[in-house]
Amino acid sequence: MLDRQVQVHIGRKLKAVYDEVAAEPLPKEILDLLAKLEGRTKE
Amino acid sequence: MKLTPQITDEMLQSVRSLRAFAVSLCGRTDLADDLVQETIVKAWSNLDKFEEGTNLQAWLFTILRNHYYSEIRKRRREIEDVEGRYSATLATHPAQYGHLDMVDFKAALQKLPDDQREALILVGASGFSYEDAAKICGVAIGTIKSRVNRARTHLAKRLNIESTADIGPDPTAEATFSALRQSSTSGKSE
Repeated sequence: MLDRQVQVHIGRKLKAVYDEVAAEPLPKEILDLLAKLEGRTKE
Repeated sequence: MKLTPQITDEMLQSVRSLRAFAVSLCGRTDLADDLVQETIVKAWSNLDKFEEGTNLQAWLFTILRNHYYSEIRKRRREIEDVEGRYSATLATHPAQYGHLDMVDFKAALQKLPDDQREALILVGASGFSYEDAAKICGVAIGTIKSRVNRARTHLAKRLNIESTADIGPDPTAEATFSALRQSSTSGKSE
């Protein structure tokens, strides 16, 4: 079992890498698809 | 289950996290973006199979993961084969960006076996419970727990941070300590 602080350290790094991608603007193709989906809901 | 504004809202909220998970599976954004789009279309056309009251985000992640292993992984290998032959003919490699520390971490993460990396990310970054992560990967909870532990141990080994002493001082704490040391020395000299 790893040291608790090592686990926390790895956890922070992992979250930083993930959140960096999650914070990126969504590409146009995905936005268009979502807009279409939202449009369907309102019909 | 019908497509309601509430479901659409939940889907919209999940998309960014879904894309981050897709990037971690594919290791590249072009394929990850294809994967996310194909997942949305699949979820949309299979909405009647979604059980109301269950976790929509976990359902989306399950579709994405299955689609990655059944379709995208093959595509990735084909692309990387072609790119491998091409880059072998180039003299220089593209520069790596970002903080060196982060570059090392990302490289170590990509080197983990697929099953360990996905378990670690679902639990440690996407914020799923062990139970939901187990459902997404189609395995027992105990299996997810041991994969997460092995993934952490692997990362610690690769990054040489097996004990607290290897992590290095926290810059903020270090600044506070040195400020304290300075004020105590100046106090004594008076």
